[in-house]
Amino acid sequence: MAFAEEYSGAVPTGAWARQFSIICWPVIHAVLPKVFQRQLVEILYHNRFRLTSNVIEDSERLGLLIEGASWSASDRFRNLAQNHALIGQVATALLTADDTELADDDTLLQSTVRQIVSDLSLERTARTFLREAQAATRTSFMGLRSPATRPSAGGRVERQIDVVDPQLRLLRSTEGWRLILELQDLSPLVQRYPVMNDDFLHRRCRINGAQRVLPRSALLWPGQRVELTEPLSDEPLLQLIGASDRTNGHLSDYCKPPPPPWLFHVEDGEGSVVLGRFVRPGSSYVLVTPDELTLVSNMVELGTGSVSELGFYRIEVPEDVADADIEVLDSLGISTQTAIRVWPAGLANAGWNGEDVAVWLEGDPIVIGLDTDRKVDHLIITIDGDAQRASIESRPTFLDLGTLSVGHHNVDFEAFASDATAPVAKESIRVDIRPRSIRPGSGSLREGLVLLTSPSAPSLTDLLSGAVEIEVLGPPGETVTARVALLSRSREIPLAENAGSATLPVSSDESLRLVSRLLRQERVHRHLEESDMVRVAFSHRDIGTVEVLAERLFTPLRWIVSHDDAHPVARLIDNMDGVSPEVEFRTLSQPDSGHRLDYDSGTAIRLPDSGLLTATANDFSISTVVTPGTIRDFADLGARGSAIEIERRNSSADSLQELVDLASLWRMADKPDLNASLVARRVLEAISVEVASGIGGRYWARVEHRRFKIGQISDDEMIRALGVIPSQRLMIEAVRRSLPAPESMNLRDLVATFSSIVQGAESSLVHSDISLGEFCLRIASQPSSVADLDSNAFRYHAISMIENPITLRLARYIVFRVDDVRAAEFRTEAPYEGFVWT
Amino acid sequence: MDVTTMAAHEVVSRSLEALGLDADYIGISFPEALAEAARRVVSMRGPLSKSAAVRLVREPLRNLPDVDAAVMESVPDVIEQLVAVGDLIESEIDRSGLSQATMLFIGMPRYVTISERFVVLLGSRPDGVSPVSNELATQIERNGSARYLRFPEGLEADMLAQLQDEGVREIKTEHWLRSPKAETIEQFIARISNHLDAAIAPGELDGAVMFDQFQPRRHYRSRWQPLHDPPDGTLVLRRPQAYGADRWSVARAKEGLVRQLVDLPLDGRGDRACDEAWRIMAAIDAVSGSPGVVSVVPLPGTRARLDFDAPLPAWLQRHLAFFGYPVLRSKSALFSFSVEEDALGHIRELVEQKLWYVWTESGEGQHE
Repeated sequence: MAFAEEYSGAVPTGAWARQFSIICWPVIHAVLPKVFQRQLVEILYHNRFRLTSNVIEDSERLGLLIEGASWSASDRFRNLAQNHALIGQVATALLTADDTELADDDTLLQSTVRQIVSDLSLERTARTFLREAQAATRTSFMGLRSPATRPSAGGRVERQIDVVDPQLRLLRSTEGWRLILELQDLSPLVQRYPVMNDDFLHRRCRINGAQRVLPRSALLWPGQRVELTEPLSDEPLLQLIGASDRTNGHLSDYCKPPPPPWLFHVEDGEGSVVLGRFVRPGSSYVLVTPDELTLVSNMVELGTGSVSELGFYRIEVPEDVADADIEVLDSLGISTQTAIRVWPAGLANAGWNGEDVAVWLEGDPIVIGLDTDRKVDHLIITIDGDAQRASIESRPTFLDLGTLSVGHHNVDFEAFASDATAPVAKESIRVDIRPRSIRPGSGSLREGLVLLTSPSAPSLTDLLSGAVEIEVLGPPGETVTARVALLSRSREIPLAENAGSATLPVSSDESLRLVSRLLRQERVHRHLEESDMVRVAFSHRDIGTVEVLAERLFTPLRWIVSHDDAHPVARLIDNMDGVSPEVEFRTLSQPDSGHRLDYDSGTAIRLPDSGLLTATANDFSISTVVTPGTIRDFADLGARGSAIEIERRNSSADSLQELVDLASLWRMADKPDLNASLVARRVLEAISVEVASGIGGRYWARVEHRRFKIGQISDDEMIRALGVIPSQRLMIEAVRRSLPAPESMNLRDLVATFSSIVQGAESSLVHSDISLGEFCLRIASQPSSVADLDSNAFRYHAISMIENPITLRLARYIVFRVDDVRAAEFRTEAPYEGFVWT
Repeated sequence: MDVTTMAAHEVVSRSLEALGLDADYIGISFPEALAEAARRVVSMRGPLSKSAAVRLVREPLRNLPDVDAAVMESVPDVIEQLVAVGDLIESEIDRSGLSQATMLFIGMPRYVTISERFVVLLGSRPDGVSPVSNELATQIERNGSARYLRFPEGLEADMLAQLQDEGVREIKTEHWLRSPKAETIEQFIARISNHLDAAIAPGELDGAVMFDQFQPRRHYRSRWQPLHDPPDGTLVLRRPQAYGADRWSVARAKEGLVRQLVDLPLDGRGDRACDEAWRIMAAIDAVSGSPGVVSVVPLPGTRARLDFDAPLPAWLQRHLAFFGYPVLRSKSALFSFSVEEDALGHIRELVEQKLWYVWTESGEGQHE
């Protein structure tokens, strides 16, 4: 914080900054690490139509826009984008870099900006992206200023509302009318409320009236259609399962369908809602209503639809509408419009329901054609409460509505004869202005080939663990080539590539199998560790290519382990941007004794033997267990107890804390292969033996070492070593009586029973979330599981346990009993089976 | 609020500008403008049915200068041309299984190399965004519904690399120009017949129309007649669907009834159903002694106009876009293209060998 105050540095913000509280400072103040530069300009390019002068002049707002638009960017970039002010400042500087008038922000040195622009210019695509975004910015400053929020008629300033509300449609099928909910692009909502980003990416969506639950990230893909099969209840239309109340509250506010009954104007088997509930002569409609109507005219006919509780009434309005027809329509709450007609004119616009809802993209000319069936002198046009007069000089009339902001706008037209005070004709429409929705390489549902991923920006871990769903849609039956490429940030050419084929559509199961098969091949798999990202692309030779990039989650440091002549070799991937890490090695034979190694950035480290390699920089540390490529004997795996020596410590809370920390270090370390897992397990077992031997006393230590060497010892031998004095015998008997078969109990019950037996040894001063019994069982089975315990609670429990060593011996006895049975059934990475602590 | 009235010609010029077209050279009724409007409609509203796309292109053109009934009628043809070359994609993609109808999607940005300095540009990006950057967009040439990029001399390598960097993918020329395998008309008819031999009798064919080979060629639309008392032999049928485009089929009729029917395309994928149907119709016409006609009319310079009196399969339209471009159709033609004379031999070979058309020079062989 002193840095921020003294040097006007940006204060890192966001969840990532909280997690990496120290490393975030140098990363943020590297201004814009190269790996992010390309992603930033790509986002600016794809959102160039939103870069209005109002946005560029407000770096916080620009930063928010960037964060909201980063839902398809890498995990690392999303972390950085949480710093709105900083990313906004950098973006402003980049966008105005070529413009001396605009580049008056002195937050960043011009030399720094020039360096970033220069770096970007080395890559043609990035250069193009930046140039196009800059051009859009200049256009914005030349006059296409985004409209200010329009005050409403009552002087109240209305909130600018994005056009994100799902649309109701009808589709004709052989079974009748299907009521469809068509989702809009909801990413503008995320851009407005970036806090919703995580929920949108990771939560599935429940839809009121539909049986289908949408997969994760689905709300970020516009154009998805969901069939409604039940009437809408009072619940919100869209809800993300498990999302915050805030996210679901926004969804509920913004995504509201109009209340039924719905009048649909139908053409060519498709219907759109007419908001004004009016009909025109010679047109076809369907009224969808929960009410049962009495049919008194052959103009109205009951049909069938996908929601059995609703009536689907087809209305064929004749060319010549008689008074009787008007009466029938009136009885249905439907008016008839003949006197005036408006339509979007000139430019093919983004939508028109044929009656009263027209959609334009932000920035497009909004031109309305208007015609009346009677003589008109002038019009009064009212937009969101603001009225204006326009003379009519010719018919039809074309009206330029000017620039309207993103959102819904109510536009009323009233036509007057020269001497009339009351309008001779009236019409109301809704004009929707929506931003352009530009997709990265995965295509969109508007395109002939689209790749849908859930989550939308999967990590490499997601991809490798099968936690990502990849679905490819395209012309059914067509063949596509699937290609995986392992990429490294440090080189342009892929480290490895592999290809296969699939038939469209490719389901998520098929794509998972295919990608897994392509990655499994040895010539590809051996490069996986050193790759920073994997690109999965599906190409159709005629239609195009769609792809998704799965990037390794951000970690400031990462070890890549390989083997050289049977020795482990490790290379450090350093993302610290200038902070030099320290490297330490602990051998398998002395796992608690670290030796500092000289580390030369980028150079591989050849290690003598199995062990634990740790790199530390600031508050971040990363460890990996290394083993030789060829296992010479069991000693390499630490299978013989004698191969591992841990320094004997006195029996104290501090010594216990040291061993708990050591266990945490080994347990949290990466284990790149099975051998590494075996080594780590053996070391963790050795640490547990050392803890129990040191605290449990000389007799018990013998039991510990014998079991460590030979694997299993008899119940009698353990019982004899547990204790002989009467108070101890009472506890031993209680354990044997209350826990006759601990291996078949669940952990919660086991903890509760054991805690009640040893509670007499518990200090009354302890204020802890866990009991002494649980503390002993945790120490006995997995010492690292108490690493996060409050330090006072740890000390009190540790002292109680050390003063009453029978508690730990009993806990170890129980752990051995459970492990003997469970490990025979299934062996995991844990040193003792049956104890999974949360 | 600043609402202003506009003259119709102002509406036209503003619209053309928004479409990225030069109002000094292109009118709102030109196929270039209609094609751009169609791409834009599908890029903003797709997937949508062809009829909905036609409607959304036509509606804003109402009452604008130079937009007459012929222009409105040409909109479906323009969209068909865009589908044929791959600017738009026609597919039955429907993730949720709501409809099996054929819908229109935008094609992704792609290009086909004609020469080092000249490529066919295909596809769009969503929401009317240009498939290429402003810098490359200045090199776009338009001819009818087709768009090309002509690179300045000396910059072709750089600009091609830039095109690729912008995510515009190449379609191999040989793939884009692939056409049906060569076979004689007898072999082709025998193949269709074999498919029909294995077919079963259809169910109800409500609303179906049949291609009537006995109607005059020059009135293409009148050659489609309600399926009533069909003549013996092979028929091409179109059946309306509840939603979306018609379904195309080939059928065999005997004694006034349809006995066998197979939906097109015959292998269930690959060629478009209408392309296969048009080829079958060409074969039926040829066998009945009334083959399709290509009239070659020399144009000033080194070009010729080709007038076609029948619908053109996508593969032929691609060849024509590769060696030429669509032009306003002549009075007696369904489609007209301007083609370099050098390419006439190649086009002639295609239409004679694969559609069994008759090639006539300067208006010879016109049908009544």
